[in-house]
Amino acid sequence: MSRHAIDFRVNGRRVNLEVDSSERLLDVLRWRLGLTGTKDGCGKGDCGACTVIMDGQTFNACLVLAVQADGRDVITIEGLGQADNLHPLQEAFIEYGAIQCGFCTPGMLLAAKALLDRNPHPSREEIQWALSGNLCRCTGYLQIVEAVEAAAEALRGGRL
Amino acid sequence: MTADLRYIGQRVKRIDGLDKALGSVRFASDLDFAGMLHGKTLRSPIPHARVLKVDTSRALQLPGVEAVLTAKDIPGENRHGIYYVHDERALAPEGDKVRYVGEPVALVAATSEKVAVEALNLIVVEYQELPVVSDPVEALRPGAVLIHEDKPGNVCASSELLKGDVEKGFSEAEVIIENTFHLPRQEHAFLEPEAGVALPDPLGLLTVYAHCQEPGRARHLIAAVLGMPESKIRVVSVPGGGAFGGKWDASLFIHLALLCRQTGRPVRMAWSREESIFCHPKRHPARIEYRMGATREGKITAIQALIVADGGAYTSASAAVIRVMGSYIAGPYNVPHIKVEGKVAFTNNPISGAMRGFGGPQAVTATEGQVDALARQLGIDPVELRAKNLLKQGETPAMAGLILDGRVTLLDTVHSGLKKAGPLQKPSGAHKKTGRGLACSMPIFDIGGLSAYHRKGTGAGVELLSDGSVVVFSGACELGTGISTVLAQIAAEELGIGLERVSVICGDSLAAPKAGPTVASRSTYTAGNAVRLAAQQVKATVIEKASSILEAPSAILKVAEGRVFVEELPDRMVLLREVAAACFEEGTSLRGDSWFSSSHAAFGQTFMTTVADVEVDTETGEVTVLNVVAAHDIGKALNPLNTRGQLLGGALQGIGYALQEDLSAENGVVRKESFSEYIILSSADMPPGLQDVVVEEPYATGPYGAKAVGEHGMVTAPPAILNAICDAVGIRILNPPATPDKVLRALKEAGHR
Repeated sequence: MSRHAIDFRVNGRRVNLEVDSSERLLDVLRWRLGLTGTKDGCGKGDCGACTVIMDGQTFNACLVLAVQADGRDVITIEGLGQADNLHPLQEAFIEYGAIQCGFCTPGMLLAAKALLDRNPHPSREEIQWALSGNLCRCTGYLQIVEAVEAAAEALRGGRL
Repeated sequence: MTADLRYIGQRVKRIDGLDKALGSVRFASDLDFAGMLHGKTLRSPIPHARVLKVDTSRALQLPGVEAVLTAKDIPGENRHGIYYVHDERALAPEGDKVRYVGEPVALVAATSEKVAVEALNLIVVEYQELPVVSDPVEALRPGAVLIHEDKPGNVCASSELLKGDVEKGFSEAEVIIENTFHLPRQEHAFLEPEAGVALPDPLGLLTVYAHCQEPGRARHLIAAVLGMPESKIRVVSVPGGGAFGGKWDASLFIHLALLCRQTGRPVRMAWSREESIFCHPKRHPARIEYRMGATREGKITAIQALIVADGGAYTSASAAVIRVMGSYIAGPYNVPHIKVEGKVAFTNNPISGAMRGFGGPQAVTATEGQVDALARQLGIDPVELRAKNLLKQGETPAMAGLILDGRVTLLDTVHSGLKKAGPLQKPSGAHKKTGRGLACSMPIFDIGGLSAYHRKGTGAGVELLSDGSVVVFSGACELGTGISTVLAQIAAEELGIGLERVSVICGDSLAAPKAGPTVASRSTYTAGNAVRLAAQQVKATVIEKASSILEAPSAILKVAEGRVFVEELPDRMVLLREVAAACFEEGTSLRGDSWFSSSHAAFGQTFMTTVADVEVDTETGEVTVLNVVAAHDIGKALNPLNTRGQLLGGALQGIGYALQEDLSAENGVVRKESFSEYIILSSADMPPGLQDVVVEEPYATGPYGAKAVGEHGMVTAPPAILNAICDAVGIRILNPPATPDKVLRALKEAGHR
């Protein structure tokens, strides 16, 4: 197994690390950078709990090798908003009851952000499809979809 | 009385919502401690075998391995179970048997997860394979291979419910509906697999942090296996990714404690998704032979049901599940003659145990299928047929321990559900047909009234601190349902303070007295009542002190918005924090400790209806759910955001049960080991008309009139969908999930095309 130096951005900050060739981006984020908001739900790319945004696109961090993040720009849930400056999606998720156990929430929020970044006017069906790689077993999804609709409106200048 | 409630009944945001939205909550699998080791479990790959030899010598020599444990290393009793039958072992001993794929045989703790996995591969286990028993009906036949040598006939549990004379009932019947239902094994599929950490904590306790459903019971089981006093052990149910009954049994907390005791270091375990699917108990698969007799006018005269459920390899909650399943068979109907016989068989399949609904979905799917078939055969409207047979207040339901002490609101749920659903849509194209189904139930919930199963008695503590903020201590676990928010609402309401000044310490065996398990839709009622009582004690102290400060009689004082004041003269007031500081200074206790115990009945009951609309494609057999309306009498929605989440989330699990989820086992082996094989609903599968309706008929002894909501959305959804399929295309699927191949086959048999 070989070691590789990687240089990438995580939530706007530059990170230099030496990683093993088999190391997953998920483990680097969680165990080496302490960013445990990215969750490990299945390890096979089925559940979406480890969703991160890399150069504007969503990825399951369990299926990305750390070396593949070299030179790229990664956003995790910790980079979405802060307690005193929440992203409208975070506000809407809280407001609409879109959070129950909360394990799918970080991935769900990032999948929704990636959607709204590329499509500020999604239809309900487009929201459902955009989030369909992120499983939730608690909510029934409706509250999540409603929250994304409300956040989309807020981001377009309306009120939440 | 409820008009001026500030928090109760309001759409209050979850108290853990902000941290969960930020991703900053530490879940069970996120915990990290200095010097932490990584634990792994060696599991049986064989459904049924004798363990001849376990050789750990090579694993022990691997650099980085700190401990390898087998049954020989267990200091206490190598036995555990969730109720009274302790037939599971923490680790299978040499000379004894393994009885399912995934049964634990050895444990490893190492400096990294990778080394721990390598060490597992170096443990050599010699097995002598034994014949596998996988079919529960076969398992109960005389001469079947015994799973447990001391359990003759492979009978894991049985129950019987008798009322009247069933032969007489059938002789009075003019029509008899007879069907045999086969209900599938369902996996909880919570998003976070089992995880936790055990560590020797600075207070000298062996502390286990895990997402679990009964920390007090976990402490008891760990103490027995480790041979330690319970007082030396602390179990904390930390935030985790959902449970639904599947994190009640021992899973990994005993193993964590064993490895921690052996190494003296923090040990982390996190199961893989595959381990999670194989190793926690599932919803019981069941075969239900069902006869229902009725008069031509639609009065049900007799019900007879023979249930054979698959308990899997060990007992877990089977004894209670089969009793509840039997009790759900008669449903909300007043049937004069009933005979329900239930048996749970031991097999070499995955263990069956608790899952949301706890026997309800199986029984209600069968009963509501029967009622629907009866209505069709007699040409009676399904609502009218149900109304004709409905229990009335004061009558005695078939299940022992229930009394109908409130208004029967079933028809309210039916009518409000139908109203919300609106008219049935027209089919969207050729080869498509739409249909509507209805299913009703009288779901039970645990009020802590049964003097068994360690259910009775729920404690709670509420403490007002000297700055006027409040801490609530409860043994109820926050599994994602929002119970911690509801408990905070109750304390804030009673003490007249802002919700943001309340902290809730939930699920900590050290901080809270016994609360029993967080199961059976029981926490709002039991923990809610306990917290309310404790808060009222504190409030009484506050009023008494304020009375002396304000020189006004207690009776005219009111507590609200952080102040104590004379109700008629709000300016004559003292701040709550000033009262608290005065009590603190003079040494008056500001802690309320309550003990809530029900005695009027064993369980509470309520009413629930699901209305489902589907479209069936007769070319492909595909069923599309158009509407699911969950209409439930929950007494009082203490937090409508939470209750909606329970109803809609339950409905989606019910759709999965009806249409796609089946964790089948072939010869003891489960072939579905990930979410790409065991497929749960995604957001794309959400029906366009997913809705909830809440009926609020107050329950006299519930907190602010609340009944329960946790499980019930799940229970009536499957039969409503199956009945809707029947309404659309005239076929009754008796063996859900109603996958396209089964629907097509049934259509063909019914003579379609």
